[in-house]
Amino acid sequence: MVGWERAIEAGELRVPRCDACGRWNWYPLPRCRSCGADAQRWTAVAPKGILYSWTRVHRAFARESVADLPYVTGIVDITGAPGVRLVCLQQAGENSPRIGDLVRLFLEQKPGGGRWLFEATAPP
Amino acid sequence: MSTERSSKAVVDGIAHAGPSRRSGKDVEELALEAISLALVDAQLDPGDVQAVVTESALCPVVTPLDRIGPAARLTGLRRSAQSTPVGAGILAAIGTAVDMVERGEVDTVLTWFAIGWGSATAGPTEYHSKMTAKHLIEDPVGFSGPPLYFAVAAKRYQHVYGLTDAEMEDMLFAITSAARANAALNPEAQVKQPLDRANYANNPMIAEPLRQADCSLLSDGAAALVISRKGRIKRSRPNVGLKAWAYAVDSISDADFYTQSPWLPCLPAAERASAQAFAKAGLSPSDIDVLEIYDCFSIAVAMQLEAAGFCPKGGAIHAVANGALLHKGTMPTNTHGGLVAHGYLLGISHAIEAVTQLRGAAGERQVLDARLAYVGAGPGRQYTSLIFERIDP
Repeated sequence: MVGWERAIEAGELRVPRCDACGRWNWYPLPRCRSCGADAQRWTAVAPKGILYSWTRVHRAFARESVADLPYVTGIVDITGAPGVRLVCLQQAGENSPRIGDLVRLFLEQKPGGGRWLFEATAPP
Repeated sequence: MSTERSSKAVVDGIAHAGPSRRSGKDVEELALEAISLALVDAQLDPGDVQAVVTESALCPVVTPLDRIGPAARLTGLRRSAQSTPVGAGILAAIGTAVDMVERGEVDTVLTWFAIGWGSATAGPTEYHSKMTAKHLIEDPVGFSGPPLYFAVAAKRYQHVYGLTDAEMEDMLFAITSAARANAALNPEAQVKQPLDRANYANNPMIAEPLRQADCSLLSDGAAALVISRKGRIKRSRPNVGLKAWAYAVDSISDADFYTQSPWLPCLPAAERASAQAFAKAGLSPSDIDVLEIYDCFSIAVAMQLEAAGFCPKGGAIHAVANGALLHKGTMPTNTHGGLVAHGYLLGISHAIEAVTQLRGAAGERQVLDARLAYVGAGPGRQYTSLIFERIDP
């Protein structure tokens, strides 16, 4: 996952894309799911999408605290990379978003890595 | 396509050690207790066991055969096999054990599963966080722990089938309260207090719409089953055979399933495994007298009832209403209390409960004249369906 770490450093959303057939492969695997080619490139894609699902978390299970409870975390269908979904933390706190909302993604740089936040804009 | 096949193998021994929240015992000790009791139930000596088949991810780590074998004095082993990880694997191990006996390869097979996640409570989250994508991408945005996987599946379920928040709560309460009512009749259950609507409404939210009561318990415990050739000894109690079983797996990695699956809230592997098991048995879901369904979270029961054809897709809210899942209901389900009230032994207790019900030995929670039981576990990229039958003496 060096490609993921480099993308965070570069401030971009990048996803492995097959050189041979053009399919996006997420999460990463050593071969393309569609054609089996091994040549894949971490390719930049616009940080926006549509909210696939979400939940409001009242009790955290991660070892390190990531946000004040309760927080909303969700899964976003990335518009420019069909078949790719990214998990993101809602930027605006605990308000209820709606499945199907258009969302913009923002990269939050943190020591030792980064993470993507989402903000719902409007239904498509 | 009815089959005339009759079982040549029977589940001859079943036993539990626990479950309990904290046993104060080593996991190996729990496994050895369950194995020993299951062999007593089967009226077999340890040296009679010719093969061992187990789940493949946790069992070999916490109770490896190279230590359990000698400690349990399994001196007659000729075959050893592992199936596949966790719930689907526990059930697939039972199916594989039956296949070995029915093919005449061995006369007696032992399977077990043991876990210490009641004492080591980070177990389930750590099992998942070991996957690189989850650790690097999901943990930093708070998407950690199995409850979240099923919480987002439940929200997606609501969206796809048009359930309001209140309807989702009705459905989850019906599923969870039935498991708790069944558990109240089971002396072995970890949680025996029934759950009324007011208590449910005040139960702590974990990840919406799932409350603590909707989530599997954490348990220490073990269970074992012995499968042997039918007719080995004369029994006064009914025998229990495996009428049919099937395993199915989707081409998607474990790390991907709960966020990247194109199919949620549907479970294609569960649909295929169940359809194949019913076809092999020449039966349909309406023939089943008692169901034991892997209830890691209450919503997972709804998803699996639909996948296995016990109700139409999106129809679980009606199927589970009016106490249908109670032991005396129209579709008795998780009659021991399931993972949410009996204990979290990852599905082996569901198989043992099915056998107990078909033996007619379930005491106060006995389903009247139970002859056919369905057991299903997995609910993710893979799934195993078992259909057990009662064989009268």
